[in-house]
Amino acid sequence: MFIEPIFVTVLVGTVFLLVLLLTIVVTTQLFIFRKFSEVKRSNEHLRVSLTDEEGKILKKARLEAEEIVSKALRQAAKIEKRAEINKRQISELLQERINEVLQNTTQKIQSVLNNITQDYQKSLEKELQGHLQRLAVVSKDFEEQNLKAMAEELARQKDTRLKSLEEKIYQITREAAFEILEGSINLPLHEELIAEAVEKAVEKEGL
Amino acid sequence: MKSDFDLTTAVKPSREFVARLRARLQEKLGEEVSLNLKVDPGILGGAIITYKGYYFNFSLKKKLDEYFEKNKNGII
Repeated sequence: MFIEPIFVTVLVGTVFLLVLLLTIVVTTQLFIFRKFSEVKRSNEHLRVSLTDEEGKILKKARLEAEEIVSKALRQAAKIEKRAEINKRQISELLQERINEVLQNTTQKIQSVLNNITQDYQKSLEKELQGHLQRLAVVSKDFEEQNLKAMAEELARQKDTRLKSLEEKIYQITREAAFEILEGSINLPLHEELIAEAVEKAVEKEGL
Repeated sequence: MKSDFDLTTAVKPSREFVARLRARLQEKLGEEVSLNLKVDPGILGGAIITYKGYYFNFSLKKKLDEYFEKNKNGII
């Protein structure tokens, strides 16, 4: 078999190019890997460095925070103590004020009540006097009228009773007369009176 | 004809009196007479008669009442 020289040449050239290309790629890769390793180490160093710094900062911050909290607690305790004192003082002051106001109000009410009572008493006395005066006048009139009326009433009652008494006397007399007459008429006299009555009736009927 | 007499008297009259009275009346009136008797002691004496529709009060009670009424002022 016969191979063309050109073909061989091209093939050799191609292999050469491929080897060259591969070499470039490997070299580049190695370079990149080294760079990456450096960056990685640098990062690691930086991380460690940052961690240390961070720890320091955090520690400092915690200490400061503790100090602040401690100060705040002490301040709060002071404030609370002061507030307690103030509260007690305020309460005492308030109680005093309330007592004072109550006392003043009570005195004012008492004063007003006294005035009202005195005024009412005066008005009552005045009204009572007026009533008594009017009553005296009315009483006098009433007494006069009443006496007159009583006298008239007495006279009327006396008259009525006398009339009633007279009527009773009359009735008693009449009844006594009837009883006496009833017992004093004998049968012949009765019969005579009956006959007389019948005669009269016949005569009157005839008229 | 017959005449009816209703008689109210204070006492009950005797039979003889009633017979005599009837006979006298029959003689006077010329007709038969009937006497219906009733007793009321309250009239005291005399008689109250109803005859031919007329009413006659000839009782002693009425006379006494009239006397007392007439002489009331004198009695009192």
